[in-house]
Amino acid sequence: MWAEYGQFSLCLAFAAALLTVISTFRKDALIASAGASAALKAQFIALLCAFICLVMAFIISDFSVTLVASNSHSEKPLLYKIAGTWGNHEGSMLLWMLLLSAYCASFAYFKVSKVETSKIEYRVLGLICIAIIVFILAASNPFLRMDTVPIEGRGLNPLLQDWGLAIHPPILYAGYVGFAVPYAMAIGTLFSGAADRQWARQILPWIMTPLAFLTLGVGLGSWWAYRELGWGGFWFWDPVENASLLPWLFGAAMAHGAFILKRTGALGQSTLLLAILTFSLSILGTFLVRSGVLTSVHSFAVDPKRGLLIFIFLMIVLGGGLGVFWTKRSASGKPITWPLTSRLGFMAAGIGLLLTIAGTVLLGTLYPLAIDALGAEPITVGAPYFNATARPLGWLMVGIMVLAPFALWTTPLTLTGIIQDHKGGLISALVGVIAATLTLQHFQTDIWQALLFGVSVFFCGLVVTFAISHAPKTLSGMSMIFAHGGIALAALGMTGAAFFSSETIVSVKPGDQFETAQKTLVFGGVERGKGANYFYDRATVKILDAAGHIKNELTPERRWYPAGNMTTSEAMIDRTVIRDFYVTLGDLRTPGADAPDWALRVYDRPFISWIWLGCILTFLGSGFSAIHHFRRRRVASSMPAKAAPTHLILGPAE
Amino acid sequence: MKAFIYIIIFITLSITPPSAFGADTAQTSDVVSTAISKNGAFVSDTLEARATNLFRDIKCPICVAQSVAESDAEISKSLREHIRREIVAGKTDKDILEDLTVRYGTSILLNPPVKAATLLLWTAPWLFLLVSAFIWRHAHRRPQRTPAAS
Repeated sequence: MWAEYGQFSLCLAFAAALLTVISTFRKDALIASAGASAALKAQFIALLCAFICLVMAFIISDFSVTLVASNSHSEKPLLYKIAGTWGNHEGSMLLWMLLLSAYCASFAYFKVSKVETSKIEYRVLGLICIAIIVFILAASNPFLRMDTVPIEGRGLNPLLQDWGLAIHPPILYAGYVGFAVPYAMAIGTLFSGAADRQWARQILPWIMTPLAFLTLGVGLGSWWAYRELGWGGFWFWDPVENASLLPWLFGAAMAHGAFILKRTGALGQSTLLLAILTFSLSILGTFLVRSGVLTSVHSFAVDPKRGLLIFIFLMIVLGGGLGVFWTKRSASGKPITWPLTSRLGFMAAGIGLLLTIAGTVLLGTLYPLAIDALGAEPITVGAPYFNATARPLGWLMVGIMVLAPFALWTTPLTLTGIIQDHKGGLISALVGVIAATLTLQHFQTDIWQALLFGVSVFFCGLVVTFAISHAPKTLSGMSMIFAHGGIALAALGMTGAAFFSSETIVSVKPGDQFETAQKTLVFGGVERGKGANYFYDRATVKILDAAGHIKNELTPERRWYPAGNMTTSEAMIDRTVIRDFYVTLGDLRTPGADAPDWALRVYDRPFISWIWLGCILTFLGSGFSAIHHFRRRRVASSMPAKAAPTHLILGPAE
Repeated sequence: MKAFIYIIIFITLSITPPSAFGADTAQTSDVVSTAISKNGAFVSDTLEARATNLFRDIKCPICVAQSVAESDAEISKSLREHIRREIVAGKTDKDILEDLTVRYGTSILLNPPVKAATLLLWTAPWLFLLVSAFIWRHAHRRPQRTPAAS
């Protein structure tokens, strides 16, 4: 019965979404706003019920439901049965909608805008919800039943049976659907209201919350790819990865636009435009992933009808948003009065660079499709292209992030400003020298790369020590340090991994000893066995220290999943703070031999875990900022809007 | 303005080494051992590095975004062996890539070659950068307006 209850709840949610839009057309703005607000909350409850019903259908393995039959298996562990709910197109669209609805309901709950504005905001959100629910009901209904009930399900793609993947989609979606709220707020403000400092305070929590989740989601995706795909890399410039990076870049640009707006009252129109573009890019990401125009491990379903529907929706969101912006924008912005090399100037430059990188990634992702559509000889745009373009741009951005904290808000940066802080400089220089020496000692590298790495560490240390000694010890001050420190740490991790990585493929017999990346490894052999719903070949690889004692034992596996007939490789990682030692088991080289040869791939990945540490820091930083702005927004809403000061006061970062 | 110059200098310094720009790998002309070890890799580190650099630029024909260096597919293995043989035969990187392009089409190159059809692809990032820099430099001089406001 779960499927029927689910279907019914989904229809109720559709009714609630309709009701939201209808009530916003009531004459009395107060009633209109209150009615829409209640309907949005009701819609969330209905969707929550629908989603729980789908999860139940997966838990009890109801194979009469088409979706369960084609994506689940009765032998699957419970966690993966539940995670399987969103490990497919239909289920993930329902999750997408559930999270969108959660944002709508909390937006209605925390509402602070004027009734006139919130009426339009609710209408926009209601329309978006209607579109998505109609799409789910018409083109990807998860509750459809089958005529003939199979005895066993077809199983879930084994690559996706991993706890990292179980939590990756919910967090990633909590990132990109959240940008619907800034979108609605932008449209509402364009119709009635002004993009002023007060508005910036109101929109900031709704930018920082999705941005925090998106940071974590992108990080988790890369973490999953690193552990599960077994190539020892962390970012592959896979089109689907790019699709999740794009809203992040735009969202970060929008956040900084809103910060400048909050502080100075300038850049209001740009922030509006960015809010419209960011949500459009989230939809574009969904389109690219779900339509199957790009094939990838993420494409669960290739169905042109779905692609077309999402494409039409994208065009309405983007075209409608831009149309409203074009006709309603106000040309009278506040003048920009700060110098280029003040902190505000650097922030503006950072926005420009984020958008430049986003434009490059977008172009590189869509270019092969365009070339293909034009009928020219197909091309591939892969990692080397992005490394040659996005990477130097990224470095420019990190350079600006390093300089910005040293500049005062509205005064130009001077060299004395940088070297004023002797203590921090000394500590950082020391850390930098240590880093350079250590890398020279531990990794096969030339002195130039080690130096460059040391210099990068020095600069990051400089920023961190400076920020810690100068930023206010408040939540907002901390949020900036965490968010930027995280990016710096991740950048160091990427640099370290790019400079000092090495990999070896060896062919070994049981008992063989071999040396790689200054370590001695012993291959203990391979045993065969049966796991929960798979068979495995499990190798034992011992890592010896200098004295010949066993330091660690790794057991990389190759798994064969009979349901779906797929083989996967489970890498094992020996992790320390400064390096990952990543081992995967390859093929049997000489089948049938008494002492067979096995292929082992050993990757030495220095500093790579810093990337994810950095992601977590940035997540925390954006999260702190969201909490701070939720609090501030309440205070602001209970007080009359303050008039903008006539001149900018130097003060603590907010 | 002085600070502006510092920034330019800093930024120039902070840009990563030439390898980040996809610079060509050094072609070694020394006489090195072309022996291949038991693992199928070159014994010589220079040659193996050169081969790996090539693998990274070639797409595994049946995969999505993986290069031959990363892929475990059968065809990637044979491509790796093929490329090592070509290196031993004394072909240059350019020759090897050209031969592969003839056989598999341009889409085998992960690094799209610069030609008429990809001109926009290769110039656009720098155009974006110029436009951003221009807006950044000039926006603060006059009251801020939306791009198309007259």
